[in-house]
Amino acid sequence: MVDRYAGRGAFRNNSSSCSSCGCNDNKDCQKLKQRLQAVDFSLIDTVLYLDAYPDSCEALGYYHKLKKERQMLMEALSESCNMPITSFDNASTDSWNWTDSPWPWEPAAN
Amino acid sequence: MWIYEKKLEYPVKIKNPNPQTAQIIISQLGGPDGELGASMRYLHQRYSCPYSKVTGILTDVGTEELAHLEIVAAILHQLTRNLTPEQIAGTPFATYFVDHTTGIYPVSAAGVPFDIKYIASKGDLITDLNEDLAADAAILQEQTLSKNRRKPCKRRIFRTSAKRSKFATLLSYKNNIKHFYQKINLIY
Repeated sequence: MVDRYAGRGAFRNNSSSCSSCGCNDNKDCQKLKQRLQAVDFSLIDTVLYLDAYPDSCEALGYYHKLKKERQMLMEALSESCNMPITSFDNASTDSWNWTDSPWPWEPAAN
Repeated sequence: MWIYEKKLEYPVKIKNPNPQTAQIIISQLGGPDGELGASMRYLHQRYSCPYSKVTGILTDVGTEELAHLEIVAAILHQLTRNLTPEQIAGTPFATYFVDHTTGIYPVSAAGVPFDIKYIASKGDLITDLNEDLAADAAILQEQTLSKNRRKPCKRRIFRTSAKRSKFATLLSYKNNIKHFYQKINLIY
């Protein structure tokens, strides 16, 4: 069997970084990402509900509650974990972290 | 995952409807070298890519192709606005109109519906990058040949050239893995 992830770790560690990061494997960061997945899952469903029932105050309130938590999680992931969730969220000004963390389909990301 | 952004990557504001032009441009949507094929090509090839930084390029380029797909659809939508039966009859657009009216349906200029057979995904980076280069060469040729190019089209030629040189750079180091790594590092 070919280990298709074999070359990746080494390549990642080689990535030019001007600041000390490497906290991608941090368990807290993993937890933050899992929380973001849960929040986004709810947010997606809430958006679909609001598309169908735009006058629901209850749904709109829930939407804003989730939106606030999402913003917090996105900031924490890019700034404290160097794990930008989108390519526009690279927080560091001296290193490009977008391709450092595992891709979503890799076992290490889940 | 993806989240929709309610804006075009590049604005489209067409003054005069023109079904003849639409019938040509539609190949850029669902033709053999269209945006639908391009986006599906990169977004499916990326899973088997063994280098994270190249996966990043395939992901980001594939995502941009989806944005292009929307730009082309916007061009087609505006080119076929408020048409009178007279403006449609006798034009190449008439045969498309029979089945789809002014709905956006991915077909080639000749009316062949989009076919996923236009793309390849072989689980081998060098093979896939070669296919990307071949596909982009075809697109670049078509874009450069078309006359009376408007701003969004000119912009697309620039984008295709940039993407093409990126793939070419990645490929030119295929025989020297060490250089291959270095070159990828240079791109960033």
